[in-house]
Amino acid sequence: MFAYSPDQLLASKSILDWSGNVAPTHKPFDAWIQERGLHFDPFAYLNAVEDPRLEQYFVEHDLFARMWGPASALVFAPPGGGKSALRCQITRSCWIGNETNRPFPIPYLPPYLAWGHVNPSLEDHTSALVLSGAKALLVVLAYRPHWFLRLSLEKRDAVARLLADILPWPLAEYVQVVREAISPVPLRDLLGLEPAFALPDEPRAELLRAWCDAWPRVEDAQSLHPTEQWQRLLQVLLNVFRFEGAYVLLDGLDAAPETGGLDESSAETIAHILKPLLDISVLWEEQGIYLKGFLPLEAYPTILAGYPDLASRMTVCSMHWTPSALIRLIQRRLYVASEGAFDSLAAMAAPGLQDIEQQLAEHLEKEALLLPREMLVLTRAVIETHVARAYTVPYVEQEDVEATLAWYRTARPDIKVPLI
Amino acid sequence: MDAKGLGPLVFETMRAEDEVEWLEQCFVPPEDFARILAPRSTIIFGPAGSGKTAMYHIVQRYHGRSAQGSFPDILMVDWPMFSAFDTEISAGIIESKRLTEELFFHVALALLAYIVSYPDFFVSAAAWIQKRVAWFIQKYFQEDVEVSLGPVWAEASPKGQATVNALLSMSIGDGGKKSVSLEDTFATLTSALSAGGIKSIWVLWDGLPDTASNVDLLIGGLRAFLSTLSLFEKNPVLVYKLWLPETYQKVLSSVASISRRRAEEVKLHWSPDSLRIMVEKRLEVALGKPTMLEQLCAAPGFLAWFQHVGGCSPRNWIDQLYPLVKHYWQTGQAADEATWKRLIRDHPPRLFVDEVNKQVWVGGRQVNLDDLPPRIFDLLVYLYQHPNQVVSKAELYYLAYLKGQRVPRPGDEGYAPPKDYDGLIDTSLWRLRKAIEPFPEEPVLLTTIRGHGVQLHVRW
Repeated sequence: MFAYSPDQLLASKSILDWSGNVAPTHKPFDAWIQERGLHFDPFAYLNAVEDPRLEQYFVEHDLFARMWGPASALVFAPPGGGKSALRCQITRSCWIGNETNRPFPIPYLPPYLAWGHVNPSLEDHTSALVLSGAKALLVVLAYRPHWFLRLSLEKRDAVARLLADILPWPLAEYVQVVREAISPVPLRDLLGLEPAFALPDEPRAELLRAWCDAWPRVEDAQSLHPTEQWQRLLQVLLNVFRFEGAYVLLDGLDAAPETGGLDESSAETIAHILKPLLDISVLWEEQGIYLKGFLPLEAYPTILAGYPDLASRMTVCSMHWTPSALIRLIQRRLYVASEGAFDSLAAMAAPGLQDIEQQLAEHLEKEALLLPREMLVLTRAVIETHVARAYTVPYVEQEDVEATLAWYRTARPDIKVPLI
Repeated sequence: MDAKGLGPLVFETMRAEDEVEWLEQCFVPPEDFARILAPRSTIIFGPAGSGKTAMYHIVQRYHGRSAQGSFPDILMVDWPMFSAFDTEISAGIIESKRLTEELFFHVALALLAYIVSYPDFFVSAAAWIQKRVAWFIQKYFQEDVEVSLGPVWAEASPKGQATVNALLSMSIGDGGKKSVSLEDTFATLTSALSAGGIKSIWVLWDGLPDTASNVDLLIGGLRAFLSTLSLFEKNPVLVYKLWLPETYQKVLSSVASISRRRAEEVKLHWSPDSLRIMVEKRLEVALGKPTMLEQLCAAPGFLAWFQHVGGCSPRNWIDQLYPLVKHYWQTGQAADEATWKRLIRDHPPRLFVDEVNKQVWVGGRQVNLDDLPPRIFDLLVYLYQHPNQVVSKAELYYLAYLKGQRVPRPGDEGYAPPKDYDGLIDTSLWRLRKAIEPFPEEPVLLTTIRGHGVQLHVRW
């Protein structure tokens, strides 16, 4: 806990001195790390998809190679196990190069609230996927206007008609957002895509303006069956833009048990959601569409029980972390946050205290919680503990590490990480 | 007393909602205030009297204020969610959906209050932003805006009122005619707000009682509510700040949103230094001049007693100071020892007995009941159930100690002469005083009325 000094308390004359928009001196954690040379807090985001800098400090995981490629694949991991970060990494890899000779990523987070239940049919999934795909396509085209601009008028028309039929607002209004902002970013936010869904390099302003002007007017949007819309979307992706294929990046199933109700186990809920997609995955593969599922570990036994031959027809793996990988995760973030000045907590630690990351990782190993999120939590907690205890001391000390580990023993999350 | 001060009122109201006038000047942050203000969902736990509601008002009114002339970049949404938990809550997506729609209504209302207060936010926004904001508000708010906004509307500028009226009657064209999911609705709104300068939406919630008979119902409702966090996870704009009684902390720690770190737990705690400075700032407001605690009372042991009784509770520090402030205000002088003791007798520390959880609080201090046998706790419970009444030793013996139905008369079955139980009751009362009285040798809570019995002084 951080307690303000009597001098600070007495000096304050107004509550506005303490409100969140004031100088870092009243945000002790931020002030302390800034004084140590970190230009931002690299441990602020515990949720990978919210982190706008994620791509700067990605840590390559062995599973990337297994999840990438023309095959359906499922990866299982507990909460905070790096699933979403891996998904973001795969998405980013689809944008390497400036052409469409890569797969098209469709981020798919099942819309439970929209459905009002957690037992979707294939049609429910298809309808939601169509919308996800259309949103992703429009945003991608805003980042890569030349892909649209080089199409013939007829093909532009087909693309415009597809998007107009699917998107909830008139297409012209989405284009107007880009026109006014001269950037694809507000469009991405408007369509509800996460901050991590961003292509490298925004286009030049004049190119974006030309793109905005190039969209044909579409009157009378049609309401078609989801299956038909899905086929139209695939046709546009694979035949018009000539993407190598499409990845359906399924995530967000962690949320399902929380919202689905308490009458059945979370694993069963997840299995129900997944079933229509697993059933259709073989047909999809024939069309060049690959399911990439990022799934909660708790669902693994139930899903396997329902599909004993699953591993024979798609890649199935679980995500594990070693202590050295978690240490690398922290070091990478420190390197980026310090703009290359240092890459270890030793730079912020007392002389002789060189192994903070090692101590934390080993503790997580003992607690059977070798998870990236927990490593971030612990690392941040060490600094917070030090700031609360001895703000004016410019380095973390061993007692801060020990106090943090003692706290963690009572505050560890209620997560089970069984071995597979 | 100097007419510049506001007087003892500053120490009397005890309700954060009534302290608007001086809250800003008296504010002292608790420990970990920066974590409470951090841009992530936080559940702030605190016992009764720890300042939860004051913190709630502080955050609601003051956080996110920008420089003069501009508008706040945080939209504060006050959600009286407790009213939603008065019927059985069924867990699941239907409940999450209902709660989300209710939340959207309150977001729309908060947005209207914001726009009427800061019309330039809307007026200067790009056309697409105006359209999206108007669409959201028209979809989720169909009440009378003047009635709903009340004093906020009445105090708004003509420009603010005109802007809101225009927004409510704005034509949104073809937009929104297709069905838009709740997730997409929220993304639409937050992207528009973000582009317009509102960077996040904070949903604030306070008001859950520290003890409630329908605890299971409330826990069920909270679980359903906290589950909605996961549905907006990809949208970091939405932040929940919940102030909850400490008694719920254990039960909620297993909720997925907490165990999966979608929400952070913070315990509301004040250091002795910060509490002292807080009350001295209040003294300055009350008396019109900087005043230290020692100037209120000349009695030796006053500060030690005060810190002992006040504990870590801002409410109890303020409550216990009230009679001294009133005395000082009226006489201009520090109270001597005799006066101070009289004031304590007339205004003893607040006593709170939680029979269910077997907790006892005296002022801001939780009493250690380890050395109190269950039967003596039963005596306390009986006296607490008969507050401020004179209770005879016979009543205590037969009804509280033996848990009988009535006090027998001589000759009745079960009757025992007073000499058989006087010693037992006297010893029990001695142990009880030792446990609960700030100074057992000079009781103020459990007093003897010679010849009649004892009286437990309870102030609500």
